[in-house]
Amino acid sequence: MPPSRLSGPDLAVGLCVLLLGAVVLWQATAIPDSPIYAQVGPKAVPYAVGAGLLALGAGLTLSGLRGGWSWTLEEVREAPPRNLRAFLLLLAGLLVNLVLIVPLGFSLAAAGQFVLVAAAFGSRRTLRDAGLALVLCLAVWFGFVELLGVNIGAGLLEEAVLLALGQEPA
Amino acid sequence: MDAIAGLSLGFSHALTLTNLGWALLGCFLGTAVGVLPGIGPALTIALLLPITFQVPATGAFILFCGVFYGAMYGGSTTSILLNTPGESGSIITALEGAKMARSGRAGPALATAAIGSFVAGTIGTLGISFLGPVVVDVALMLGPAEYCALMVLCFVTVSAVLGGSALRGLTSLFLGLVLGLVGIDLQTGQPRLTFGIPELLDGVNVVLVAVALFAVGETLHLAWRHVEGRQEVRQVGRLMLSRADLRRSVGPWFRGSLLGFPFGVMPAGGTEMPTMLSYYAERKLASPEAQKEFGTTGAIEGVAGPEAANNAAAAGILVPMLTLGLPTSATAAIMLSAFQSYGINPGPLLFEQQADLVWTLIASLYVANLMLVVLNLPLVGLWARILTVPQPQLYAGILVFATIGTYGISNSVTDLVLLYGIGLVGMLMRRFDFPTAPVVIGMILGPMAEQAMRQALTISQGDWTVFVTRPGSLAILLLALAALAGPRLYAAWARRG
Repeated sequence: MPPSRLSGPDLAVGLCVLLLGAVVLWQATAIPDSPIYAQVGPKAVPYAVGAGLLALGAGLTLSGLRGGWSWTLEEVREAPPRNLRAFLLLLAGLLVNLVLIVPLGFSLAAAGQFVLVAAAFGSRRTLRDAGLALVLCLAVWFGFVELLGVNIGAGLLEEAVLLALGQEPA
Repeated sequence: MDAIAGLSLGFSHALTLTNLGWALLGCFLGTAVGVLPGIGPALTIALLLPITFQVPATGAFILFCGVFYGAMYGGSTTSILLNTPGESGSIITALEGAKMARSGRAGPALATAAIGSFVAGTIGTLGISFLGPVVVDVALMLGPAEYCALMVLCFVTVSAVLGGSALRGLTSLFLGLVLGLVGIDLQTGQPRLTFGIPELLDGVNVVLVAVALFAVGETLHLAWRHVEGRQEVRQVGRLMLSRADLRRSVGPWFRGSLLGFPFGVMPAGGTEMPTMLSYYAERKLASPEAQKEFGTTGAIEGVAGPEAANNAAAAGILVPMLTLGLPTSATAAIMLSAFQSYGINPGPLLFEQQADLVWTLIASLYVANLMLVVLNLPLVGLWARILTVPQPQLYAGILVFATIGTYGISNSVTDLVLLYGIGLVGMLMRRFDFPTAPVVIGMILGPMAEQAMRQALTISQGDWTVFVTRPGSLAILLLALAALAGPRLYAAWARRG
């Protein structure tokens, strides 16, 4: 039996889709008119997609007002309790990487992320994780730069290792 | 070029030592990464894309063929030994396979899955070789209007026909269409949906979105619901199929393959339908004693049939991908974007202009298929050991690879913000049961459909009726309408009657 009350989370999803549709329409109006002659200009499809999203969002919002669809999902009904600690540690890991990758370089930033993500999933041996992370990230960096020829700027750690190996850092 | 001439040309390229080496490397890496829990074929290919940077096109696609078949094979190992299917096609395999593993018969389950994959892969590859040229001949007659209609049909089938709800499937598809719109319009050079951010002028990378949804989103979802404790990996035990096992497997292998391939070829995409159908068929056809094993101790028919159907459907998906340039699964969409990164556009002209490449690729599918069955049974102990990588380090490692795969390509923090942001969206989609594959497919097919539509309208000088006055286009659009409305009308009719 569907619950008779509205479902908050499902309603929020519907509203987000409506918002996305509105943003797409707003951005579509901002597309400059094309100086090149074309039967169908660059705006037509963005307008159509935005309108489609508005219609779909309206449908989802209506569904949310009538009890939503989450109650039909077995995975949601039988889900274990939410684990805020794990989730926040993981988010912190992603953030650390974003903030540190430019000043410190890939290996140090990604190693920081590795330690936090491992901690999020219940690892308690932080020092061992850190050692493992540094080795892995350096290996990945050298693999990409040396074997695949991808240019990823050398950070502090990579430069130190390159100097130790007697090479000029690029 | 007919199939026989094409294949002999293809094998003459594929059997050189270098290309055999690429195939072997692809099979090995594909299986190793595909075995990791939660990583399906689409994510495996996306994560392994960077290794093609230094490789010429032919070598790269041979590598992919190996990765593609290897990832499919690795996924079945995870389903059986850990009961965590990496993608929707192996859910059914997990159903019976994990039960067999629990009652100490993991070895025969793995063996029947491996040999079934080989049978299905061979039948599927034969299908590609002989059906491909035929489809190409038809495809050469299609104009932009028909192409556009065909893509609309794909949109409907991948998002609205399968899955829990048409509303949610279509929302996922439209999210993909929005992401596909970002960047410079190809016909007029105008920036669209870029919010004034210069990094977005080049558009959003499909691989980035796939990695964000499948790796970052999945990891976030797992963390949100994380319960401490370790998963149990079942012992493999004896691998050999007994005579009785073999007798019970042969029928399902062939029935599953023949059922799966047509489903893959039709733009109905998806491997869920054929695997489900194969499962129900085998349960009906099984002997009374075997029927008792279904759902209790695990029946070998329930692994052999669906696993064959899954692999044959996956091979069938390559037919529309190679001949029409239409990807109907997330995996095919990633492969298509790999083609595009080499400046190659799959489609009917590919068979004419790049016959060498196409036929070498098809020949390599046979090679990879054979390598996998020879490699994987002896190496199953190694694959089982990969499964014992502890969860914390596994997910931390996956995110490191997701990060360097994205950051390494562009050196841009904007891309990392997109990766993590879309990952958060992916987590919410997972929680609210929005399918993720239509996002990736919409993103790659959307711009192609728009181009075809605008070409058709340029040819017709702006006359929109071109889509319904050309018989081919009209027929395809009616089919799409039937696929969208049919199941709902049927449900309404069934409720009344």
